[in-house]
Amino acid sequence: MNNAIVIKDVTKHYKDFTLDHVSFQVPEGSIVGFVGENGAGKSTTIRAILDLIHLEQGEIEVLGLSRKDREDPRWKEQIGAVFDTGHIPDIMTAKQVARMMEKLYTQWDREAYAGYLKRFRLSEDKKYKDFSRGMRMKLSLAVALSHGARLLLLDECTSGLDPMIRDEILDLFLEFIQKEDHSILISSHIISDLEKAADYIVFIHEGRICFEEEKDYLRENYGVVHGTREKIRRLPGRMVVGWRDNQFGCDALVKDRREVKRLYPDLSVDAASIEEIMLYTVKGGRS
Amino acid sequence: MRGLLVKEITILKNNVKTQLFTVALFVAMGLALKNIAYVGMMLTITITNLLIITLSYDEACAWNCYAMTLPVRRESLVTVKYILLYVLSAFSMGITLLLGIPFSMITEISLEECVISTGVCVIMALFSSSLSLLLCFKFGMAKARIMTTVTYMVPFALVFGLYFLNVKMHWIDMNHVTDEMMYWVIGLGLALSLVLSLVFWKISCHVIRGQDL
Repeated sequence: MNNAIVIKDVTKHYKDFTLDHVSFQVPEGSIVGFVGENGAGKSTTIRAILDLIHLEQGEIEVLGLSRKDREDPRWKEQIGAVFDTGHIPDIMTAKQVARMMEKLYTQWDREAYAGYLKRFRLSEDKKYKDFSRGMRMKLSLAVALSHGARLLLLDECTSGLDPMIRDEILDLFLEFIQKEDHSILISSHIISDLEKAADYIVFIHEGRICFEEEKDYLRENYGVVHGTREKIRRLPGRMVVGWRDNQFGCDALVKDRREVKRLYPDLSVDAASIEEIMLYTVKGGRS
Repeated sequence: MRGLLVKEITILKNNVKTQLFTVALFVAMGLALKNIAYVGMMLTITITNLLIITLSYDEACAWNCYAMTLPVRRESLVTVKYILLYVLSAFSMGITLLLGIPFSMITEISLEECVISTGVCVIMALFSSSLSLLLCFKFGMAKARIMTTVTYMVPFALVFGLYFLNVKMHWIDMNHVTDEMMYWVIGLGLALSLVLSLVFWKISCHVIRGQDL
């Protein structure tokens, strides 16, 4: 399988934060959910992919192109980027944005753009400053989807949106990914969105990748074990990702809940959500 | 880059109407004062100030960050601003020269005086605005705004300083200075300010290449 994005050992130091040897991949034809708490390094990583920041170490390959190949900006015709805040000048209308984009993209599709504006019920003549947050996001998506992009990079684009709009946007992503060579990297801290749409989950915490896994694998294998402290503590270290004490006893996140159920039938084991996997990975104690 | 120019023109179109009133006011004041140099200077500042307005819009929406996701080079973000500067400067020069015709008919101001004062205004605007652009790219709008005041003061200080020094030191007898000599000085000044603005453009490109956006 080809990869739309390959990130290897990417490192960047800031005053109070470090992106520390970040490595992961976005397989072609997939949606990769890039999760982490606020300030974990998601936006910094996406900016690194877009060559917005200079790296101290590491390599990034995008659509098979190395950093040197990406010096010619025409590669960006194949990507669409949407950020959490709008980046269009306030006084521009959707019509004016289209006129600008027509001159920038060789593959600009007027009909597709008009279609998205209609679908999203966005007025062509309304100024950007008069759009709500959700409408601004939809306009940015309409632009990203109207020039033949193969790769979408979405940075917290569903944050602050109501569930109806988020659902609409997620449907759009699933439509986009129908083509085999289309891929999406979406960063978010809204796990429920990624549980619906993502094929892979990459979890970043304090600038480091904690895990990179297929979503279905996480759902089918990870589990939360409930029991007393003594029972939980006797679980072998290789099985346990982390544990947390509570007022009733102790809970532990395990990598293979079926194995735990087989070996410890007296323990209660539930499937773990992605959110729980993140929480235990970061905050859980270790055997 | 054409798309970037379309964006700049769109922003300018939205702001021209508010500036028209200011321009009309300066023209009226210039007529009342019978001073074309005043009109030329204020027109040049007002029109080149439109450039600062586009930079403010860019900063407000973090445009540069988004623009780098579009198929444009980093240097294009700089180049489009300098192109805009040259166009606006030429436009202000044209408007001032055009105004000079009725001015010379209504007042005692000669057309030659109009041409010379227009030339001086454009030289100063080109130098100051080019330097201001460089400062904006290097330091951001907030810090550059303060420094921009200095970029306008420097050429004024230079010219007036030289004038007063000349009065004291008697290097050149101003009574023997002809219009032809002034045209040469203006021409050389324009060429120098163009060269300097190109140098500032190159430095701005270098600055933006090295920046994290």
